[in-house]
Amino acid sequence: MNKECKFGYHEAISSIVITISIRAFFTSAGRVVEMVGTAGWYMTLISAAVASFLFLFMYLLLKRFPRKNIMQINDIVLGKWAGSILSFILGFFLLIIIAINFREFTEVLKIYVLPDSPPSFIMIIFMLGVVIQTFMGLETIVRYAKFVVYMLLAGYIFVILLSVQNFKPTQLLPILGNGLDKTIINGFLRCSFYGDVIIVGIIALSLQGPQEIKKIGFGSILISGLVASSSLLAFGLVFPYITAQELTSPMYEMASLIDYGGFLKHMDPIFLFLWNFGSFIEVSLLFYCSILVYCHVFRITDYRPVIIPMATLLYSISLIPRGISEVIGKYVEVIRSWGWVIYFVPSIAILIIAAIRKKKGESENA
Amino acid sequence: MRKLALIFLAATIPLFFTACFDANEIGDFAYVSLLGIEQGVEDTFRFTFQIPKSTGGAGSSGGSGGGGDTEGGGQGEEKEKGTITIEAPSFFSAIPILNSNISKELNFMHLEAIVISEGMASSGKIGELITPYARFREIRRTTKIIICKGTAEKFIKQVAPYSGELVTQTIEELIKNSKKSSFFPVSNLNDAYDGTKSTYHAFFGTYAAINEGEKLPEEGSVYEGGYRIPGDYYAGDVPRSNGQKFEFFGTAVFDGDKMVGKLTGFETQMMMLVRGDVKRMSFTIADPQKPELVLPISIKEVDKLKVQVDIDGDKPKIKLELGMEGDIAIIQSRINYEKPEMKKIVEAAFEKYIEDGINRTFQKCREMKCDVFNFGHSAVKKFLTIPEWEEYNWIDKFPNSEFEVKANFTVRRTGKMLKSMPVLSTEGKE
Repeated sequence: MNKECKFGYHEAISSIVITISIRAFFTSAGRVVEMVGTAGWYMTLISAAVASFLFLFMYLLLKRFPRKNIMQINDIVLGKWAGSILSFILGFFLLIIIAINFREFTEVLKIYVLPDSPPSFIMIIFMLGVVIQTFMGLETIVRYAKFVVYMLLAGYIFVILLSVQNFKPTQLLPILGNGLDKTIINGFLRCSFYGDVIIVGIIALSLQGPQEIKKIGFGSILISGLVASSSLLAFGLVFPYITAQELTSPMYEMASLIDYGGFLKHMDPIFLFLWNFGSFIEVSLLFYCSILVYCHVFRITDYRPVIIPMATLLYSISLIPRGISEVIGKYVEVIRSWGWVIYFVPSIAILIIAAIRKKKGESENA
Repeated sequence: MRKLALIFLAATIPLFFTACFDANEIGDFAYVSLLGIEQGVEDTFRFTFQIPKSTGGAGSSGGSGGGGDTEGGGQGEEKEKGTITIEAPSFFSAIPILNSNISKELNFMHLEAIVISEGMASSGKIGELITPYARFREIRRTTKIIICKGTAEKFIKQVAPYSGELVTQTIEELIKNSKKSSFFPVSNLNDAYDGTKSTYHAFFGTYAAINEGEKLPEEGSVYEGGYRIPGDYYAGDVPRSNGQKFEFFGTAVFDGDKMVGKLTGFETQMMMLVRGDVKRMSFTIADPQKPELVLPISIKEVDKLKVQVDIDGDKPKIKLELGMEGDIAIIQSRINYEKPEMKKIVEAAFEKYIEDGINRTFQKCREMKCDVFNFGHSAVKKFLTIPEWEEYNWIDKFPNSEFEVKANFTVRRTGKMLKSMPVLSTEGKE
């Protein structure tokens, strides 16, 4: 049965921050440099500010309909059919996101660590863990996220601090990168990077009311923004803008450059640790959310029988891209640039429609 | 119970499947410690691989083919190295050919340095050959880049462990000495890759050579040539015999991916001083009052460099202010330079020595059209956007730049003595 467990904001923030921030460690960073040059580290803060503004509408929507998740709100405001279609689009979109991120993770892992392993092998093993985690439920995922977030944070800070030896501050110049206009435009478009904050709306029933939703949503975007910005700043300090855009995983390269003589070097395995655990939580949480949305749309009360078929579907979608070039150049790029249309626009539209139709949830104290 | 079982399953399953396809035993590989590259005779490139083997008394790691050399390691342990040379159209075609020839698979995860022959570096093929290595998974970007005089094959064959160490350890320790002597710089694959594409600066690498001791004549008349700047020669020309047969000394300078010249050990010191790469180094200047004698000075602290680049006008104007402090290490002349008024003489002489040295090095690099000093990193501060910076084209403007340097030096200490008394002999007081 789909029991809605309850958990605190520490767990929720940990899982959402990991889900959002882990992407900064993959191919996105190089693409950001290609677009805005040396201005990437503050471009992402613009994206975070825009995402916070757009999330405000989702928060107002969830506040208007207390004790409801966004799928239920869609149904209330748009009616069963239209609401279900909108929810289905969201669920399918999430599945695509996971599939692409999952494939990106697999490809990067194959490039750097497991060159001889077939992608399917890496994916099946990984999926096995995701499926078990999903079977255990949301509470397990978020509590596990809270458990590992400190280790991931420590590992991340450790890598950044050790990289100080390779920092060249002037590589962040010219400060405006490819131009302020490009930075602002891309900052707006790339707000999709923080789109996974939508999870707050999907798991709203497990959270402790609108006040906590506000704290979790804005807090997650803020922390993720700081993590993404610091990672872009760090690798901007290490790699000049010309070569930074060529790298598959700049953060991994940054870790591998750590060299304190014979005493401390070859620190890239720390990064592997961040990658694997972070991606595991990201895929598990998003996978769970897509199943939750799917079950809501088709009125399935127990989500567990759906897990294996959905995992098979996820695996199959992940195999569609022909290689890393297609994953990055086609799918990741479209999702990062235009994902906000599905992440944020529906909430704004539903809020407006709800206001026009004067639809409102029950009072929280009722 | 079910939950526990699931947790157990989740935790243990990955252990059984970890890296089945990528699992390798350490003995499956022949770890290459040095890779030499030069132009080939039979094919485009000639590659030389040095594969060290540590063999204990009981077991022995498998053979790696090629000409094996054994170096005395002492303590019952042999440090053995094997070198293999092959010609092929590319690095990636050389590896499988060699893998079919040796019992182990070549692995570059612990590659310490890539040695490029001077001829190869000057041919402008670095971009074609070396920089793509940054793409190769096994080669780390921290791998050092060495440009050697003569052939890379001969150089690698001469690289032997020192005093019972491993080859990699010897190279590592030697590279560390760059910070102490600053007679040669250290650059790695990442620097090479960035430097050849950078809009801020030019790339340079460690210059190395075989030294057979030919520059140290065993007999001859006593030297009476007066003061000579220490370290003002290239690798291979150092007047020494014995010790390691190879040496690092000087800098190979690149314009893009082509080696266009080299700096002597002394010029390298100047370059590293201007770049702010070293905080401590030693110099020996001519005694200001007795020029036939020398006055060694040890720099203990280099202040933050003040670099001003004026980009108004046709030619960039570079102003450098360098603050240093240090100690007088030795006073051969026994002149009382310890006195405050005499210290000023030493300070002024040393400042001139540094200014002349930097000016000379700058002129040389300007002729080579290579900004190895990182002045581009100061020039970029004048630009707000990348298109403006790229349009200005610092790399192109640098050869026309005007340069001014001001060195400030303060003598802090004079060693273990506060004054020098004259020598007394039967001929009287000195």
